[in-house]
Amino acid sequence: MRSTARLPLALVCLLVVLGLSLPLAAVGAQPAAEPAPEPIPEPIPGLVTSPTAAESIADETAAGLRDDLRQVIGAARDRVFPALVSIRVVVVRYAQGKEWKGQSVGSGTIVSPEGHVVTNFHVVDHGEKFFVTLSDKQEVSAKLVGEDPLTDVAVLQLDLSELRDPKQPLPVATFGDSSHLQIGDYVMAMGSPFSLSRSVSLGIVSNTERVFAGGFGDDELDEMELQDGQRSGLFTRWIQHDALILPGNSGGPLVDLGGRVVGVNQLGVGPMGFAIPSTLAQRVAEELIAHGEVRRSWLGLSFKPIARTGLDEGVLISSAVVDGPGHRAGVRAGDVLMAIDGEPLTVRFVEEVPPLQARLADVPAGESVSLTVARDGERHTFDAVAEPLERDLGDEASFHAWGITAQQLTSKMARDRRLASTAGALVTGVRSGSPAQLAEPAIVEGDVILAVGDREVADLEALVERYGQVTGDDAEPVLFEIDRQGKNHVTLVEPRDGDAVDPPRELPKAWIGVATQPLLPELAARLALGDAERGFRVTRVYPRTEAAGSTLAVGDVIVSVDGEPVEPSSMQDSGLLARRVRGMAIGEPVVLGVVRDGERLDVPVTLERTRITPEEARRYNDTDFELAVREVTFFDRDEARWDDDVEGVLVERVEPGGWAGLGGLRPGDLVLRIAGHEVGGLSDFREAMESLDETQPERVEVVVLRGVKTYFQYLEPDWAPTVTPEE
Amino acid sequence: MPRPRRLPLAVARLVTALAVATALLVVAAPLPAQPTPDPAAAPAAATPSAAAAANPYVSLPQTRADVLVTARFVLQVKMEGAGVEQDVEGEATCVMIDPRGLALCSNIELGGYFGLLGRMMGAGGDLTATPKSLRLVAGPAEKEYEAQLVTRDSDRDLAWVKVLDRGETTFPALDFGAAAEAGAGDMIYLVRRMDDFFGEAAVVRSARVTATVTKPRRLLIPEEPIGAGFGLPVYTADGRVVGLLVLQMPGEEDQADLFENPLTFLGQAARLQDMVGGVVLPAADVVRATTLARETFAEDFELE
Repeated sequence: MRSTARLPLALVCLLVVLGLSLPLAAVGAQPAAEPAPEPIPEPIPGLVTSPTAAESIADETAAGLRDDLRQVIGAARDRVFPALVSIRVVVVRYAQGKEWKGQSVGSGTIVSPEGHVVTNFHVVDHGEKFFVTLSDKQEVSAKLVGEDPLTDVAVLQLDLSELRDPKQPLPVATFGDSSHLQIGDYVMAMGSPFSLSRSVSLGIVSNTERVFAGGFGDDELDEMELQDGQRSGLFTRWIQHDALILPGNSGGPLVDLGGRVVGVNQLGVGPMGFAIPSTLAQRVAEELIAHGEVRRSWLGLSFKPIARTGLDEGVLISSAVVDGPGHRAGVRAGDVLMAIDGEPLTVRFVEEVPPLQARLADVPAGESVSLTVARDGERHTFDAVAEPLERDLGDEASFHAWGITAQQLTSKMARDRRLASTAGALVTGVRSGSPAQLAEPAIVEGDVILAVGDREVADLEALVERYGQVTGDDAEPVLFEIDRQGKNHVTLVEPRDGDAVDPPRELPKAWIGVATQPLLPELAARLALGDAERGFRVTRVYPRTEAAGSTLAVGDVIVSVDGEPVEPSSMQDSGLLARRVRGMAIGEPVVLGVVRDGERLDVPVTLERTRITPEEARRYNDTDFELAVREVTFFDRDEARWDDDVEGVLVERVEPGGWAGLGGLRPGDLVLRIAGHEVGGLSDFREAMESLDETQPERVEVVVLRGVKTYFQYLEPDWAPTVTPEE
Repeated sequence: MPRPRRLPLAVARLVTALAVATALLVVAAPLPAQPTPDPAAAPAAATPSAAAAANPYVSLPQTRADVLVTARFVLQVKMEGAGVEQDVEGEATCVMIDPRGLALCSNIELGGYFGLLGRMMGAGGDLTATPKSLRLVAGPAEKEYEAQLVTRDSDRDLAWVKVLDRGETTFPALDFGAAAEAGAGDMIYLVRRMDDFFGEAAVVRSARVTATVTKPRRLLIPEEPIGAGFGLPVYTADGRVVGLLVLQMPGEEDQADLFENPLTFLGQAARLQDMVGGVVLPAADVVRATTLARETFAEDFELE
């Protein structure tokens, strides 16, 4: 599940004042506590009277209203519910110098017969694959049409060819006009909370122009940054409502009683939900469908409402980005903006800031806008040329052989880091033990890579290209030039064969195929060991061993080996017998002194070679399916009580969000068959995977043994090459 | 009475594990790389001057420092259940035992302590540490060679590492077959290198053998901790090898209930003091184990 945005201070304060507890995940909505049911009073016999005429009328009216409301809600629900969808996204994120796969879920609404689905940006952010479940439970894949982080809106498009009946028209919901909403109006939140099947909750509108500010006298607009620092609150005044929304509801519709979509639910805190108004969401969605992006412009100005400034009109310019369009035109922080293109304005309260910012963002890039400001009692007019507003954050990629992740620098990122330009690629993470970390000096998070080898790196794309050129077999150490907080460093990154290796082999030693427990004197005295005071009681004779071929049996107490006593003095001596045996030669015949039913007897046994333990087992790591398997050891077999005819490989690790994980494989599964290939061991598994790599089937059937049951799992790998250089 | 929650036990276990792990890591701190050899220094086979021979603190660094090699590696640490995978850079000092490029190391130094740590944390075999990208810094030129961990003997805390492509280089090596016996009351000496802050100077540490024990196997017990890292040879004053400084810790089978209850373990932890300083595995046992390893994995032990 996705959390949405971090919680503004003002909201935290509000909740503290209200005595509400915050859920751990800040804005991840939590189920409301169930109220204790009110007891229904029992009628007292003899006191039951007939209702008066007035009471009867009231009852009838209430019943009528209830029926009417039920009808209205039912009709509204039926207009949107068929177009309500559940969205599942395979996401790829970058952290600690490597790529991490995972899943996120959310909700959405079909808004066009062509299969366009409106949802939140934060639902599809970092998405690699998109799957949409329709109201009739069909799951189809979808593509990303466009996303607008600044309003947290995104549009997907269904792959209509995957529908059972592509000719059947899609159910489509229609947008309403959120500007007509009033406080107190009924609204319904629809979606798939916790990715469960679709649901509806009912509430009323609590506020139609909710914005978030710093709180406690700080009335600057909160920019509402999402997890990774992306701003999402510059242009939005949310519809606050109390229709319950939970994680998974993100992107789902807020619906009025007319069955129109009046908002897109974005976040929830306790009993409060916040939806992007349809007037904004619809416009953004239409731009995304038409252009794949929302085109906005930028003047580099921030505003503070004048309510606490002592000013009577205008709006205070609280910041003017140096060398931004406004600054270049002559506007400075501290100026009071009085008019735009000659039209006077006053922004007294923080709720009025988003419309102002939206108005300026709507100025077409390249066009001039006239800004009249008051400064030191005089008025000045500056003509600023609007520039395109770039995204806050750049794309990311993982560079496995170096052990780093890097990100395209945007203007905002460069400004925030006080970099002179956007040249280079920002290092966002370094994998522990990787060549980048082992370099001297090491590359660290926050470095900007300026050159690799003898070539400059202008941007992330250039870094990807260089990566392809200088890595691979027989790669040579490569020189990196980096900027670290204004200092120019160079370092040498030496490629290493860093992928998974088999664990070291243990030197085989002599072994007797039994498990034992130490018998200390007190316990031994109860077991009638005769003259022996201590020993090792056999708790299991392993099948298919030399010991199993001897007369050793569970309950026997081993008191000597070749006449030498084995006498544990404490529980720490549990390994005494095994250690004594390990000091002897493999294949050597020995005589065990054994007490059985109070009788001493000699049991000859041939020492055999120690068996491989699970820690020593050979591994195989498959990067296509993103899973690791290992060979089955003697001890795995014994623990699971598998006979010799049970063969396979054990799944040791499944990457969350990887194809094996998405297909339902779990650590501990014994893979018996894959795509029709019987798996007898690691070599069979490796051969099967190599064969699949050649044939690249759409679907791979894997038969596993889990506990005592077999399971058939279906994996649907993406054989297409990845766009990032991750290996 | 309410059943106690599981968390405190886990926390206590973790704290205990970390405390002991810290102790282990301090004890097992790797030795630094060797410096470029001083041309004036005598090779391993050279005879020290009479004055130097009389003073092992002078003679041993001259005659025995060049058999020490540095193993550099990356430990791939995994805890599958917790989804943890981390690479950690490591370094250990080992001793060259074959001039064609076979070195003997402490298994603990090459990540073996993670097995114990895993048991202490209740992770068991789920916590693994596998050395990769192994290299040996060795030879007169202090060159870095790709290397391979051939096999290990966890019981004896031994690991055999071979150089993969030595070219024409022949390495100074120590012959554990030409060994001396030592017993209670005898002085033993160890050569180690200091940190590069001190120019990686070779220095001698010494201790008196305070006992010989036979359990879990025959070992010499120094009167006080002698090493700053395991896998280092121990000598007599005249430079004859006595054995190898190793760490002997309980194996999984020795810990029937040692780590089940942290309070029990805290009591038992005091017993670790006899272990963490290191003990001397006699040279004869080193030779036996090496012979067995070479016989068992003859093909992998082939040296160019």
